[in-house]
Amino acid sequence: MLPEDKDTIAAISTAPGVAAIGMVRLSGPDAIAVADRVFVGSKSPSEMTHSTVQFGRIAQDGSVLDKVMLTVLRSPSSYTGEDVVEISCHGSPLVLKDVLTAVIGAGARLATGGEFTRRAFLHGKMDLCQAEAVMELLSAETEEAKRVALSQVQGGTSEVVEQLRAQVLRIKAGLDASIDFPEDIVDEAQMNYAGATDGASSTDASPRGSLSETLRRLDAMIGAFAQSQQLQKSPKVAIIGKTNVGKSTILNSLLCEERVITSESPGTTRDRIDADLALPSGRRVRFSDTAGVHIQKDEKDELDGKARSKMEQAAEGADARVMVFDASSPLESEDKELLERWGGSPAVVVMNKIDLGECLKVHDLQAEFEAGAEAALVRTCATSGLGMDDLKAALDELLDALLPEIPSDACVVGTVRNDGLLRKARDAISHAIGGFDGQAWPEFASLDLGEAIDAFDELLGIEVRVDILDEIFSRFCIGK
Amino acid sequence: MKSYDVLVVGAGHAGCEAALAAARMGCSVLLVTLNADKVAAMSCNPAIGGIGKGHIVREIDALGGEMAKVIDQTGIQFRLLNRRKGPAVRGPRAQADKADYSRRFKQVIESQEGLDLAQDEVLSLIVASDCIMGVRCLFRGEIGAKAVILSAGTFLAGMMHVGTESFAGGRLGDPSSNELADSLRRLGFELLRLKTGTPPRLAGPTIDFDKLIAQSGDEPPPKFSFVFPGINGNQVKCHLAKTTPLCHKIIAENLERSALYSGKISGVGIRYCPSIEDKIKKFPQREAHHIFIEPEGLSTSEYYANGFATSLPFEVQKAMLRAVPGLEEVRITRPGYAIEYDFIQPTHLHPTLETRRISGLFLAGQTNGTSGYEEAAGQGLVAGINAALKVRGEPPFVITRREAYIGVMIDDLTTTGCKEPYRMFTARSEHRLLLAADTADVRLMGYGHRFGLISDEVFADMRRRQETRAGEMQSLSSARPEGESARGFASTSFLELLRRPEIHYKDLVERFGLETELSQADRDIVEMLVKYEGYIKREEARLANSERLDKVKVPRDLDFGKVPGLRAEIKQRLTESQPATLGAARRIPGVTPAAISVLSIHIAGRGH
Repeated sequence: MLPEDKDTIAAISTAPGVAAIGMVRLSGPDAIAVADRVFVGSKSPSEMTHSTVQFGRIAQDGSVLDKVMLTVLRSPSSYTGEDVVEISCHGSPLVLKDVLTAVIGAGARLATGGEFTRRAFLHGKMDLCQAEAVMELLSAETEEAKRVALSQVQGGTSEVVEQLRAQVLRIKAGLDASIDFPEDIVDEAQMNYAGATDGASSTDASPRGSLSETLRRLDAMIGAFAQSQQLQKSPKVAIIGKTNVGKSTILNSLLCEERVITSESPGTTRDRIDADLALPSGRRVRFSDTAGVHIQKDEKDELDGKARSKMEQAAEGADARVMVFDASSPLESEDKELLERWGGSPAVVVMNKIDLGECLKVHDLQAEFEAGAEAALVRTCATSGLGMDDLKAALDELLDALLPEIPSDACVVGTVRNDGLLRKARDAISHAIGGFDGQAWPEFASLDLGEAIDAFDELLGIEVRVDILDEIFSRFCIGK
Repeated sequence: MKSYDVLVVGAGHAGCEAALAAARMGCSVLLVTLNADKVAAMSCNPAIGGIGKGHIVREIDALGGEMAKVIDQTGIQFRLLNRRKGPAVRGPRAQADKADYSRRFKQVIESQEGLDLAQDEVLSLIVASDCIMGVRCLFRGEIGAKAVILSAGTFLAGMMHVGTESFAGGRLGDPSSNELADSLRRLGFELLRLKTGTPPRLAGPTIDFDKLIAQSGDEPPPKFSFVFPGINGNQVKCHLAKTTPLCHKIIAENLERSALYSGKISGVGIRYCPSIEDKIKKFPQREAHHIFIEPEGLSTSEYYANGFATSLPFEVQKAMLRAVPGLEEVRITRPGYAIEYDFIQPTHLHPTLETRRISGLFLAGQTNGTSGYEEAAGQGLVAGINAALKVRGEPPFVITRREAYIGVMIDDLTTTGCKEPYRMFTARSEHRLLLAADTADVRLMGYGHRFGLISDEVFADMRRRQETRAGEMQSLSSARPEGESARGFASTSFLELLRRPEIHYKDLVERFGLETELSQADRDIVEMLVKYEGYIKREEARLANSERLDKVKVPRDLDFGKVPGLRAEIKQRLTESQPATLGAARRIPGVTPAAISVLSIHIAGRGH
């Protein structure tokens, strides 16, 4: 018999692509405990009885990712025979990815191909014929998956990762050569300049130096990923403008047209209001802290001061802003303050209420912008929905332009998994550098670099361990 | 017909360990050699040990083998390599007195009860219903045996080359064994060719040692054996010479006259023990290569030119040596030569070293494609133990990768096979930190003791050392430095101090006032255990999955061709190497994780 599986696995169990509903499934001894950590409902999953469903939210770091239906199936009466939690979400791939990331953050591990099936079989939930039929299919799919694995990685990343990997492998080979062939690799200099004295290619860098360089490039990639994640996944947008300029109408108009994925019931709270909207590119935008939007008219005055400071906060915390002006009246001092304060930041300028006559001219606004600052200008009539598509397109364009400029020697990895692997490599390399600096024994750095190479291999989908000896013998003249 | 429990073919380093182990485990053993004057002969370099190899020698000792004891008694210079690196990668090495080593080993063989030494030539194996029955010899005719261990070294169809001259033989001066190779072929074994080489031997009085750099042994000399109390000590120096551009020019101009480059040799050579021709060709920009001038023994003035293996014609060998400072007048006593020989791809073996094809037939040493005395001896010991266990009807002994370099070696051989002569390096192990030479006793003596190869007394000694160290670690963790020396380290235990890379045991004593009665050897081990702890945990976490797979046995009768869901080329690879566990299957090149999942389901399904 195979040993028991001790860990809890998770995967998106519905077919890829946009659909009405998608499911994230957890299986393993900690499935319910993991669900407890991410699910907010009237009772926690651990309090739920077998085979019951509950409505609630999946939350991470205080923000709601989705409203879901959560099902608890207790061992042994589940597909795998283990404790299973099924989370039915809205079907957007982005939402599913977020929920999956959340459960992994809460202690589950990403399932590898066929693991649910394997566990089901091992717990007697499936006979051998069924299991083998599934595995046969899976075995074929794995080959396909390997081919597409690299396509998740954007433009040229695999080449960059391969370069980094080669660099690290080279240094590890130098270390291992000095360990296994102390009489052939006599002096430090020969190890440091291994390529130059012994091998075909040459490099000026010491192992310490080229590791630092590798670290710098990894950090750049990780940083770029974090930025791009933020901007691609859920950039924050604030709608700002003086009172009664139509901010709430614009938001409501935007939200009306698209299904609201997540929002608190309007009007029931005056606190945080998060609203998510899908732009034409598929990017989801979060309108955060859009205070005042749903406030009842009669409460407006007393809340005005408070709302204004909230707006300030929202504008500051946002990645991009929508600056709203009343097209039917000339610029007032409040408008000018706004322009002065935010005119240089990424923004879409909206001239609303164009149905009431255009008193405000485009060049009046343009005159207020300093040289160099440029903002897309959209003319809308929020009450009729006119110009809303233009606004969304302009937001998309603006957010695209905000994507970080990728350093020429770095690149962006497309997925959370890949980012995790890069971080693993980065940590291992940084540890190795610490070892070099602290005069630690070289076998430690070799182990660190081995871990980094493992991470690169996983990222690149390399399955066969490369013989470090090949690297050693191709570069060092060994042979006492 | 005369009959033995175990019959060993070949009295080299593998055969001698095999025969001794089987005899000590109570079997009647016949050890057959082509030349009874060449028992445990060191046919190539006059040294034992090194990094990886030295580790194996200590493992052999912990399992109850002989090699460490004999080299401790016959070594003439002892060094510990990698002294400045961590303890796990330090390896002892000794220059041996070749003649003395062979003579001493022969004495041990001759005085072993139940072990007969015989000079004869084994011509063929006798096999019935896929079981070994015995062998047929040139003089003695048929001899029966319940188990046969074949450790024929380079003698199977051995062919030597010096320049354009070629001649049959297993070693300069000894014949090859051709009929036995044919016998193996008839039994269905696929024999492949490997090649190795040896450098010229030089006449000592013609070497100008003043022009060379002298290298002395370490004081105190490091021991190999945990068991044998004494050591021969440092008695000689080695010397370092360097090649010159002129020497390289002579080699380059004569390359086509080398047996290696004239296309005469079909066998695959070694990358890590290349001929000087290879070195010049592969690294042309290098201005000098080292030649280590090592004495062959105390009773001879011959020297071994380590690092200078060649198969160029005799005259060229002389000219290129004479282009080296210090060797201007040198006289060659024996030329360097290349040797090709047959080996059997070891993927056809169980991890006990028994062949899958013929029950009771074990293979060990260069016959399995390895290179080196230590690698051969390690396999010989495992084959000897398993042959005896088989004769006694007991379960086999399989040594794992995380227990010993011997386990790494046998797993590598039986799962991936050999493309070139196999030599041990620490880089071959994913458990390097666990496999320190100094902890071989803790790792392996339990087995040696169980098989009756390690005495109760020696075993109890080991346990005592282990307990002493555990006690020391306990007190290091509970005590901390006091007074002046503790400044800046308040509430830091000695253990935590020792964990820091820059603080060593002697600092604890000299700087921080630690009082301890621990021996230097034990201090080294304690320091290693403390410093390695965190890394070992990381290493284990990283390998947890493959370790789990190592525990899942693949049934011996599993037909991989019939496992549904496996791709054709993976079926073929699995069928070729017949992995004993899922872990071994995973290490076969080209076998994917998906294939392992398929296989695991199939195996578990059979159990239902």
